[in-house]
Amino acid sequence: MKVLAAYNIKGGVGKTSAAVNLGYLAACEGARTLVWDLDPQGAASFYFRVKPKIKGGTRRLLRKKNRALDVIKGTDYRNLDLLPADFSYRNLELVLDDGKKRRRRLRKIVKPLRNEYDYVFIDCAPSISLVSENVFAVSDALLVPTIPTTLSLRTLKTLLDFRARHDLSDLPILAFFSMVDRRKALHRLILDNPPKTSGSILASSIPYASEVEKMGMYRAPLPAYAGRSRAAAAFESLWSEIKDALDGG
Amino acid sequence: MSWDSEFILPSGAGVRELTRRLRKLTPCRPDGRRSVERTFLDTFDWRLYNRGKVLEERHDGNDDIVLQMRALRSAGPEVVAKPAAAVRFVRDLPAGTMRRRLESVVQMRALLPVVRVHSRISTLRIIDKNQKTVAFLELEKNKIAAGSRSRSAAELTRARIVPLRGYVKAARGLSQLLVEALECTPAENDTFVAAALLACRKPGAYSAKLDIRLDPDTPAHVASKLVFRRLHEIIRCNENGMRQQIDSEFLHDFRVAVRRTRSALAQLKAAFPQTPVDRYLRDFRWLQQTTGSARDLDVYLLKFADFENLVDRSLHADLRLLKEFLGQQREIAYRRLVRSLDSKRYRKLMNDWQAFIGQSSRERSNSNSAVPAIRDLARKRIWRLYRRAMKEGRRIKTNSPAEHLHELRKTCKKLRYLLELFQGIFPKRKLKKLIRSLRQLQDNLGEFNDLQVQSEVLQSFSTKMYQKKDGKAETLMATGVLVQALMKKKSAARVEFQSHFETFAQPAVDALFRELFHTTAADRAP
Repeated sequence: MKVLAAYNIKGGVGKTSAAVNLGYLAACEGARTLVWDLDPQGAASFYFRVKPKIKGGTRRLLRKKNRALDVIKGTDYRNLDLLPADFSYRNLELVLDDGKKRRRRLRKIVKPLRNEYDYVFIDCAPSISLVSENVFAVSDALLVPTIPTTLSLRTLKTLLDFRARHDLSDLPILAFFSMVDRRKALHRLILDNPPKTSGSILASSIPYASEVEKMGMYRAPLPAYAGRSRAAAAFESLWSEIKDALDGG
Repeated sequence: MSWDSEFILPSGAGVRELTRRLRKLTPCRPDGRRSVERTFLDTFDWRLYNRGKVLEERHDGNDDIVLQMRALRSAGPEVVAKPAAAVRFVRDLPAGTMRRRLESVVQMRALLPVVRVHSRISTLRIIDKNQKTVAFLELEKNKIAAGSRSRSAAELTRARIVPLRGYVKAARGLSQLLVEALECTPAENDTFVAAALLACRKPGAYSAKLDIRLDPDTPAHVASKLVFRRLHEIIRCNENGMRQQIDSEFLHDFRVAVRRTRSALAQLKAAFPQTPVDRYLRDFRWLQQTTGSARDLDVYLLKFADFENLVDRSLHADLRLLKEFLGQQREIAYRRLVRSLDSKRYRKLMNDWQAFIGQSSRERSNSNSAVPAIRDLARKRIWRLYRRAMKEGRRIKTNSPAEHLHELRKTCKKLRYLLELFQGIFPKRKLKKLIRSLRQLQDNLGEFNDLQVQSEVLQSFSTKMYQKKDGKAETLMATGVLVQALMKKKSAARVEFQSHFETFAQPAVDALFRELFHTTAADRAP
């Protein structure tokens, strides 16, 4: 099983659409896939038409063995399940801090999933916190959507520095450009000459497209309703690049 | 609460009619129709079925093969794999969950088609007020494909609920709806079982287990004939698989049945006239010898991965030639084996033996008036073998020759067979305990003996290869390293023997043997 976290310190960069669409593509290939909506906003749960609620909340999920298996919901798509969001995730930070091995506590939730899934995509809330550190500890790679702007690149640099400082050099950071608007000169400039300080960035990029935004209207993964769109093709190429990177690493 | 997931449609109502009626009762949406060719697979001895598993290979229009495993009488695949080609052995599967799950159950057995079914499946999505799918209902029309013709049966038109994780309530509600409002009947059998039965295949029909219920007071010759008949059945059942070399276990089951027959015949010969017994003992010994080398080669090939693990990785390439050579030898041995099965001697043996064990018992008992009850004879023989095993075991010291262990191994084997053949007569729990303690000793003795034989035979094979110029010096050397590793393991097994024997010879086990099998003067008095 591979755990891939869609993560960024910044919000509104396309984490949820990455987790949902890549999860959908993995499931279409026959891989048993779980999307874990770890963002209290519950956007991924909304896209799958699942109530953002876990009975017993965060505490129960963390304390009771194999609890995750009881609260997972099947989506409308074969091989694709969802571990829904819960509003109590907003206090996750506090709950994690309250106990031993504070940086490793999400492991207990992930452990029973190992026999059930080939891929777990975590949709993280924006921040860099104890929750993020827990996510880093269970992930096989971070998928970091990055808007080609100065501020976004700065936060990517912050993440890379954090990794270096915290001895996480084994954790691959797969950054890719997201919400790319080719009409904007700055986007074109950064895309054509990505700064070297930002580490290596994947070649596939996700365009800024209205089809992607319509995910909220259709409440479905993008390839499910606009399989032939440019944006869907971009996600497909991103997914195959991610798989290659995982195999190579 | 459990609920039914598979239903038979009410008579007269087809898939279309049911769909029409269901749509009036619950929000749902059609989700496509597809034709699938399904082949249900299991081993010859029904290992999957016996564990409550159903394995099917699905071909849909494209060339893709999907392998699905689920629990018997449950919907939805538990594990899915997409092998590149049809799978015959678990080792052909790509690494993954499916392979891991199957490995422990199927082991070295071949996966054989049990029944082929052509299915037309229409799927309905049951949805909630958010348009979220909460369950799937698959309506299947199945036809059994038999050669060019196919057969359908009302029993094979089915509705199957595929529940969605986390939506049990919805699935249960749908189940209720199907029964109460739509007059569907919960299916008694899984589709797999129903289709297999219609194709005249009874799941679970073959087993190499004995499972004979015996009345302890049955005269010995009657009881032993029941056992012989069962063993004869096993022998005949496996002939075909041996001829076709489907997998290694046909020959194995065959040989075990032959050996059990021999052993029982030799131990219980007091119950039969001497002349035919001697002849059958001779013939069955021949049968076992003539099939021996094929089995040995099967074992070397099955164990080859273990052999490889005993030597350094750098030598694996050099051992490949040895493996190929073993494969060729195996082919030769199997050809010889098939010739034996085709021989007049074998045919005559089987015919005469069948007549002999089929003879009505009354006629025999007249000619031999003092036939003891099976309980008494079995007790006597088991007790005697046990005493012999103890005697042979006690004389083995650290410097005793290998032959002494070999003798003990043979005695233990005979004892084990008798315990197993007549397990129906004695208290089950106690007998199990004895068999368990005996098995540990046997495993040790067997390992010692196997390693001894293997190292000798492998060495001689590689020398033979080298002389025939089939092999390279590297292969000869790599085999030498392997043989050395085997010898080292053998010495370890030899050292362990003492503790295994002591465990077997402990007073508690002895007391149990005594209790079950020792006949005192008081027993014999009446």
